[in-house]
Amino acid sequence: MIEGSEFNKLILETIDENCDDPDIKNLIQKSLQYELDIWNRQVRSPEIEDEYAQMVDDVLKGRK
Amino acid sequence: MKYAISSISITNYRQYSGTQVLDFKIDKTKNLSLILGKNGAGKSNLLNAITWCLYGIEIHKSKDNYNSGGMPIINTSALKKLKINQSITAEVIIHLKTDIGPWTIKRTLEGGKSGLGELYFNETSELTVIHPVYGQDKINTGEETQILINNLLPEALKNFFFIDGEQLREFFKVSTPDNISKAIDIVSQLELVYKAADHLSKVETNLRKSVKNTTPQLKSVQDNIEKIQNKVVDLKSTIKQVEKQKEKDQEEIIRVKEFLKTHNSSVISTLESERQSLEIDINKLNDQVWRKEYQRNSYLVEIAPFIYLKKEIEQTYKIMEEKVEKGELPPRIKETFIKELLEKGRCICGNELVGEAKKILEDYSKKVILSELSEISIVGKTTIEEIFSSIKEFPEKIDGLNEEIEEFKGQLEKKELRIEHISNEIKEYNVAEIRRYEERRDELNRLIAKNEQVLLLYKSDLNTYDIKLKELRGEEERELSKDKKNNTLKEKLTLVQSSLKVLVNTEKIIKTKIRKQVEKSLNENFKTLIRKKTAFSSISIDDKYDVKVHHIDGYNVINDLSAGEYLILGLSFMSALMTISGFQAPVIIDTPLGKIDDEHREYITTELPKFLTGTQLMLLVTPTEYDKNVKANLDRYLLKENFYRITENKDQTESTVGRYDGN
Repeated sequence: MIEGSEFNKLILETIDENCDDPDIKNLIQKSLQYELDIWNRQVRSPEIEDEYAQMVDDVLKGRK
Repeated sequence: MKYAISSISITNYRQYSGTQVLDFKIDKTKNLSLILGKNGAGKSNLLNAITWCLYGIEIHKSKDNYNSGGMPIINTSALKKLKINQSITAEVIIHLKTDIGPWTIKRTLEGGKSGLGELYFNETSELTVIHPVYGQDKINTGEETQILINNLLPEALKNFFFIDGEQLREFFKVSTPDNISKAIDIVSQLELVYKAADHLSKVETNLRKSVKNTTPQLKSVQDNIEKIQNKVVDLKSTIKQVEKQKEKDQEEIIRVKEFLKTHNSSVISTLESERQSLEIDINKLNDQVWRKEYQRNSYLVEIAPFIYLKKEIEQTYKIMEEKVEKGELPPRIKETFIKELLEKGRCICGNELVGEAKKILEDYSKKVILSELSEISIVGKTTIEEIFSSIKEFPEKIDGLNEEIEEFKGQLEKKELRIEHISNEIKEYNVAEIRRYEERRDELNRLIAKNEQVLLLYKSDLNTYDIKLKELRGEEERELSKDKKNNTLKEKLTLVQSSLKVLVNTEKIIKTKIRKQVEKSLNENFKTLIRKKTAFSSISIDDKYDVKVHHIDGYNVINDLSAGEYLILGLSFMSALMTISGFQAPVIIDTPLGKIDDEHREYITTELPKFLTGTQLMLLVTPTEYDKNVKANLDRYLLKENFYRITENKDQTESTVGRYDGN
């Protein structure tokens, strides 16, 4: 997300307020960052699915 | 990353033949650049050149009509001069000053004349970006290059920074709550939350498929979940289609209403119904005139002989009166009665009629002949008296009839004049076209209402599915907890499901928060920029994204603002969105002061550059906009190196840009 944007602060604050689990917060943050990275890009569905699968793996690996 | 435009170079683009270069000095306090040009000289195409270079899209043209004919991007004079098999390139280069060093962005489009003499244009333009990476300039070309620009300012946000003044003035005039909601969604990147939720949902489906079904109920629960999820996907897609259609209809109805407003449809409609009612009145009056004239003419035919014979009738009447006076008109005894007595030879008293009595009766019989005549005369006398009375009444009666006819004719004339006046007034408008628009408006209102109901139904179905899904997921969770196998997959599935739950739960909260933030920022900006600071109490954006401008007396005056106030409202909204987006790009406004009264011009030009301190502000203005007061106000923020003027050639087909000293 845009560094220092009002939106960035607001969304992360809201997720913080509504979730205590660091893994969930981590996955959501990663997902949003990825969506921003591919914003306005024509990315194929399988590529997106792979990326998400990788994100889930990374979060779980980080837990262990 | 913050950026400003340090230079633009345009070659063979639209009406700019050859190469035009505009260099801008970047200054924190004197943040204004001005480009002066008459209407049609090429101001909008200068803005188009910028958006085309950055995004491959011209801001005044939609993607749909981008390739649907019309003037080509490549300068037509340059195209005309091409020989067989020669080619030419339209090119726009923008140099940027960014926090991490200078950037160069170049977009080109090639066209040419084929061997057969036909003009051709390449289907896609070429984009090159040169930017610093670890102190070295890196050249990027190809598909992914666009991402670099989108990192500076995403294409979806370009309309909030590169602004068409006309569209900005119209934004709140024609915007629906959906447009406002969409603008906030785009700029706040809430779209990313929706997309993340969608993609996580797909991951969830894939993971569920992968989880081995080790409990007897799990498969059936999961099948049901999948079934409902498929239904939800279908329903969402249908909802999206209906919403799209509703949005289209809403956009169209705004255009239709605007057309009807500018074509005075209510006035025309009133005039048209007045005309119809006048036509009925005229028909009635014509009938009344005809009847009265008939009545008058019949009367004249009836009375004319009496008028002509008035003298003779008077004479006869005189004679008859004399006769009565002299007693020459005997009593009225019937001749037949006397004859009967004479024939019977007996009086009614029973005595025989003989001698003197019979003689008297025979004499009397002769007088009776006169009596018959006198009866006629007596009747005639009464008739003559009536005739006299009629003759006496004649002038008054005929005048009365004539007056009535004249009165009707007067009314008729007035109504015919009015109808003629209406026809002349309506002639300027295309009544059939207005009718067509009115019918379309009514039809669109029906369609929108229908679609709103359909959407309510679908959304209620969606809600039902959501509740069902929640129940099933609970069941699935319980079933999964029984399953000791496939722990990793289940772990993943739980993580994704929990993340999805958080995302879906926070979506609405985030949206409300963002709406409140935009509302707050919009109020602050509006208060700063508006001249009448005490006339408006606040602006609200409710949960349906309906924007209301509250007058100090409590009225919502969103539909009663002046052109200047609409511009300020639009600017305040855009500015609120710019702030919330977090992107720091130049603000370029084409024709910002058109249709704005002097007072607002004065105020906007005093406040706007101050309001956007630290942001590069580029205004493309007409000589009419750039009047003495505007010049005096803007001079405070304008470096002379940043003042340009567009000049047209004699035929007004080509333009050049050069520095302008303002005189």
